[in-house]
Parts: sequence; structure tokens; C-alpha cells
Amino acid sequence: MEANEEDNVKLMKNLTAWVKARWENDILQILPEDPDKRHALRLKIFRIIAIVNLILGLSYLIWRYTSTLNLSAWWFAIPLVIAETYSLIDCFLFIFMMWKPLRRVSPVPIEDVPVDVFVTTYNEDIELVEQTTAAACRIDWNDLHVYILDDGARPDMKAAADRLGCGYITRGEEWAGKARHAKAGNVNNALMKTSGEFILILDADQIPAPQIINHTIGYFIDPKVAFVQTPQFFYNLPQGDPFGTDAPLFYGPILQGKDGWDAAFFCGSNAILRREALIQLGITGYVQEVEKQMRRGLDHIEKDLAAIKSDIPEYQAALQLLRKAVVQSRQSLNSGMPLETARSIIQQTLDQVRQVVTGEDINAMVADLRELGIMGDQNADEISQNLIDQFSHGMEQLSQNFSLQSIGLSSEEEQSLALTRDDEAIPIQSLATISITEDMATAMRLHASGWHSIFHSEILAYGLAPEDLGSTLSQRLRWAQGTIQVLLFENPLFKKGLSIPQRIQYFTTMFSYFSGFFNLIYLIAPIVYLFSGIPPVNAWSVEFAWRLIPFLLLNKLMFRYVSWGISVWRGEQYSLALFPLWIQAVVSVVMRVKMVFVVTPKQRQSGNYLPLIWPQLLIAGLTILACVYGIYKLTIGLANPIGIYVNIFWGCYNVWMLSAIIKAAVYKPPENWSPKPPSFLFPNGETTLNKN
Amino acid sequence: MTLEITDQIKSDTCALFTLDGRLNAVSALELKALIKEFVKKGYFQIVLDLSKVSFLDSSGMAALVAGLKETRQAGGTLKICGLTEQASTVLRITMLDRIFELYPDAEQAIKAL
Repeated sequence: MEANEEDNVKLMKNLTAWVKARWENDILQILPEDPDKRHALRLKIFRIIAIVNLILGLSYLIWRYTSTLNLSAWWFAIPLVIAETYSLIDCFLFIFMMWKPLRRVSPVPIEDVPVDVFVTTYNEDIELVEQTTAAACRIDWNDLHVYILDDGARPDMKAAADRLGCGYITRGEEWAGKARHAKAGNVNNALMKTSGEFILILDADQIPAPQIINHTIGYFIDPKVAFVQTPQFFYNLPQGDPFGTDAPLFYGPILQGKDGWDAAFFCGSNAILRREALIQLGITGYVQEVEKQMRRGLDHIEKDLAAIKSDIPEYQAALQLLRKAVVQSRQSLNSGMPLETARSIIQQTLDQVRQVVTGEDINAMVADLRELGIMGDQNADEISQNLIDQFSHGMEQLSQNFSLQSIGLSSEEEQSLALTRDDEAIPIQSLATISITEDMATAMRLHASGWHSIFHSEILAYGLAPEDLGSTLSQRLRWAQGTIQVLLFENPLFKKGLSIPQRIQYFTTMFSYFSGFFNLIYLIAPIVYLFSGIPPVNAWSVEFAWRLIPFLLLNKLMFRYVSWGISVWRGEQYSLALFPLWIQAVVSVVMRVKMVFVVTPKQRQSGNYLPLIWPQLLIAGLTILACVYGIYKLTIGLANPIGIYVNIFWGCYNVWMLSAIIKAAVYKPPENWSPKPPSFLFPNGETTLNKN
Repeated sequence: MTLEITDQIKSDTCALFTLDGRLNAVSALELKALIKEFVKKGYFQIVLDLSKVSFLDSSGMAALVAGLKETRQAGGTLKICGLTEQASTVLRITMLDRIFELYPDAEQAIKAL
């Protein structure tokens, strides 16, 4: 027995050695050694697979539309074929994204430029922030200023900053009672209080490597580069990535693909930004916002003027004057004149009108007061004299109390003509605040104003991913909602200044969040068929198999090929299994449900997460029941065997895809689970963080 | 609607008007007309509750003075109560606070009749 086992081990060893030798000596020899050439070859192979894949997909879909729809069950057939159309468009967009990915190598650093490091925090553990900040202070760069941006304004955090000898920034009084805009507001606030030419933004848990600036700053030699994004790497991911973080795929092939179209995203942390780009964005945004506000004000005034009725000829003349002024003011805005010109047109007319209107009132009052005096009121004469005096002295005191409100316009309307933004704590807002995910909208605006972006794929910071399903889901939901908000408020397809590929890159990400509806159709379809026996297609024919299966297989292969060694199963499982979350995201944004920026917990929250995934459990349960029922119908000879087999296979595939999230809901970390950041980040051996 | 006026009959000769909104060029005409109408019907003691008037301008003041003249000519009076800060400022500047009888609230104004 023992000898036999030894033989087996030997055999296996020999076999492995043989495979390794063939791989190294034969296969790798064919590939060019130069990494650039190898990259180019890989790309060519990808493009061939992709084109074949598209042709197969397109011919399948055309065939589906033209000859397979079971229109007697149109309520079933049409949704399914629409879902398939969505998937093919998604596939199209994916291929476009991956068409010419960029592999970059660190350029020579620019020397001695001042860099600010912002460590953003709200309610994370002091120790966690301290650990990140300590590493930030050790970044290998001469002109370095590290700041903790503490939105929680905690005295303990301030003490930690003092200990570390770094800056400490909180919101000032100007923020009292104003919208805070979460993390975007925190960073915008700090931008006003610092001056470094470049800014490295780090989330509280993202521990930077010492070379993070040295390896990225060189890209800024191109004066049109606005930011360099580096990957987020999570050192606390358990074996098998139970929560489907998918970071290696996103911060690898996907961003490299987008980078190829000059559309690398800014992801909120681990990125270096050029201050000038941010400030310019903030100022442009400010001017646009003020102009918008002024146009809104003019619209309101015009509308209200039209509603004011008066019999007095003086008033009518005054209203006429104001109406004309509104038109003139708008014309001057349209012709690109300074906002101040447009404002002063209205203001001057208003002063004029005020004189006329008030003068009329004073005349009437003086006349009435005289009569009251004649009737015996002793004060009346004195008061009328006072009114006349005041009016002839320009009515300054009185005028201050009157405004647009005199002719029936509201004080908000008058405010709208003042060239300020009283609604915001700081007028210059560099990081976009239209969405709860500030980063994507900011990057899009930068791209739209002609700035370039870089994705540098080297891992230069190490952080924490959520360690439980609840936190994972809330983080995913926030990203999805934020992305859809951007689509709604600043649709990239129509955004001026973006190149067409850039538009498509932004749209691709937004489009993918609509998958929830279509995935639901895929999940329900086999259940409906197995229970009802109604097929969504004309026939479960052999033709179906040879048209669909090669496309599906090639599609999976392409996805794996392009991710080049990164495991993608978990990501695929999650993109299907998270369907309720994607649906919730779209619906909540479209229905304008109020959303809050929830800071993702960095520590595992205890609890059972099964209630959070009841829709998935329901679908999985129904699918299993449907499969059992299908087998029963088959055994009593009541059904088309091919249809049943195909749908049972489909159902099993769905259940398997859903299984990942069910496992994640009951996931418990292994005993003594205490992930530590890589030790090279702490040359002196001092990790301050003691995880319990 | 800039101004909403609610009238309440307090006695054979007294009416209380509660004003809510902005008393300005747009709404002054309406107030003037209403006072005239009530005086004609014999309510020559009129109390104006301005506690909900958020804005008062020269046209509004002209309407108040016109109302005062109207009631006095009929042998009555016009009382004002519940001035807001903005209204009392403009009345003080123009010294009109010295010609009107001012009360903190409607109850006291009616009691003083």
C-alpha cells in the first residue's frame, strides 16, 4: 500500500514537472518576451475572440427575433427576448471598453513639488486613522504635508494628529446650517485651507506605501493630466472572496480598459489630483451655478410679473419697464456678457420703478393725511411734512426696507439676482456634490473640461473591505444609487466636452446597474416554464443549442481571457445575485427617495444576514420546487423532455449563482481571524492597530 | 396669492380683518376696497390684525392711511394690532406710528373700542 502511494506521488510530480516544462519551453517560447509585444499579442487574440463572439451573439439574437418568439405567450416571450437584447448590448459595451487597454509604467518623478495628503474620516476608529496617517507621514517625498480631515470633529482625533505632527482640519462655522455634502464637502473644505500643488486622497483605512507619490507624480509632467488613480487593495479579504469584492478585476483590466479611452475613473481614494484642475472645476461650477440661479430668478420674475394686475397707470408702466428689463437681462446672458451686466439691468430698472411706485404712494398718503389734519388730527400735518422731506432726500432709509417684494415678487427672487450662493457654505466646490458618490461625477466633469486621467495599476495602498454581508450590501447600494444619480442629473451621453468613447465609458458603468430587472427575468423564466409548461420560445430545438451554446461558452471564455488569471466566478455570481439591490437602487433614485451617505463600517458587524436576502432565498426556493415539479411531470409523461431538461439545467445554474450570496449571509470568519496589513508598510514594526 | 384677508364681524359697528401675507402694491388695492365696502355697510370701527403680514411697503402704508381717513370720515376709527418687526420699522421711519392706534393683539384692540 505504502509503496503504491509513493508511486502515485512520484507520478503526479513527474506529470506536473512535464506540464511545467512544456509550458515554459514550448508555449511561453512562442510568446514574445518583451512585455509590450506580449501585451499586443494578447490584445490581438482578445479582439479575435471578441469579434467572433459578437457575430455569434448578433446572429443568435436576430434569429431569436425573427423565428423563435412564442407570441401566444407574448407576456413571457417579449420580456425574455428584451433581457437577452440587454445582455448583448452589455456584452458589446464590455468589448468596447476592453478594446485597447493601457499598460503603463511609472514615469520619472517630477522633482520637489508640494504634495498634500488628505486622510478623510468621519467616524472610523481613531487607531485605524492613526495607522493610515502614520504611514502617510512616512511617504517618501520631500515637500509633504499630511492632514487628517476629521468630519467628526473628535477631540481624540485632534490629539492623535498632534502626536503624529500632522495637520488637522474640520469644518468651520461657515458650514453651520448648510448642506454638508458628506465626503465631497469634507475634501472641498480642506481644499480651501491648504495649498499643495498636488493632493493625495486616502480613505481612513487606506495605508499608503512609501513610494506612492514617487511612482505616480511623473504622470503630471503632462500639464493636462488632472488625476492618477491607483488600485484599492484589500488585505482583509478572506479566502475565496465570500462577499464578491471584485477589486482585482475593477482595479485591473476594467480601469485599464477605460484608461485606454482616456476615461479612467476617479474612485475617491488612493488617487493623486492636481489642485489646479480641482479649483478650476470648482470655479467653473460656481459661475455656472450662479448663472443658472440667475436664469431661474429671471424666469420666476417674468412669470410673477405676468400675474400682477393693477389698474393704476403708474404701476402698469412700472411693470412694463420691468418686463422689458427681464428680456434685456436674459439677452445679455445669452450673448455671454458678464453676469454683472445682466444683474445691473434689472437692478437699475428696479430702482427706477421703486421711485415711481413709492412716489405715487407718498402722494396719496400726503393727500389723505392733509384731510385727516383738516378733520382735526394734530399729528397729521407733521407726518405728511416728514414724508415729503424723506422722499425728497432720496428715500434712502425707506428704500432699504423695500425691494422687489413691493411689486409682489418674493425675497428669494431678489436673492437669485445677487451674484452669490447663500445656499452653500463655500462657494467653490471642486468635488461634485450632485450625487452620493462624489468621485464619478467629479471625474466626468474633469474629462468634460478637457483634462486627462491616468490609471496606474501598481498597488500602492492597502485597505479594508467590509467584512460582512450587511455592510457589503449597503456599500454596493450606495455606489449603484450614486451612479444612477449621475446618469439622471448629468447624463454623460449628452454632456458637452466629453469625447464619444468617454461618453460610452461612463454610460457603460451606468447601464450595467440596470441589469437587476433583466436578471430577474432570467431567474423567473425557468420557474414559469417548469410550473406552467408554457414555453417562451417556439420550440426547444437542436438549432437552439447550436446557436446559443457556442456564444455562451465563448462569452465566458472571453471574460476569463480578458481578466487574465483573476478569478471572475465570484463577481459573475454576485452580479446576478444582487438583482434586488440593483432594482432598489434604480427605483429609489428615480422615485427621488432621500438618500444618506452611510460610512461603510470597517469592522465586521455581527448578525445573521439571511433576512437581507429574502428575495434571493425566495427565488432559489421556488426554482428548486419548480425543478422537482418538472421531474414529476416528466415521470408521468406530461411534458416535453427537452424543455424540462433545459430548464432544470438553467434553474440549477441560477441556484448555483445565487448560492454565493446565501453562503455569504451565514459566513463566519475563521477562528483567530485577524488580518494584518503587509509588514513592509511598517519599517519600525509598529502597527498601532490591534484588531479584536 | 400675495395676501389673504379674513373678516370677522365683532359687533354692529366693528369688524376685524386678519391679514396673512404681503401687504404691498399688489394687495393694497384689495384692502382699500374692502375697508370702503365695510364702512359703507356701517362697520366704521375696523381693527386690522397684521401679525401675519410678512412685508409692508409704501403702497401698503398708503392703504392703511386711506383706511384711517375712510373710517374717521364715517365717525369711526381704524386700529392696528400685531405689528411685525419689518412693519413697525417702516411705520417708525415714516412716523406713521404716531397717527395710528397700535395694540399688541386683536383682543386688546377690540376691548379699547
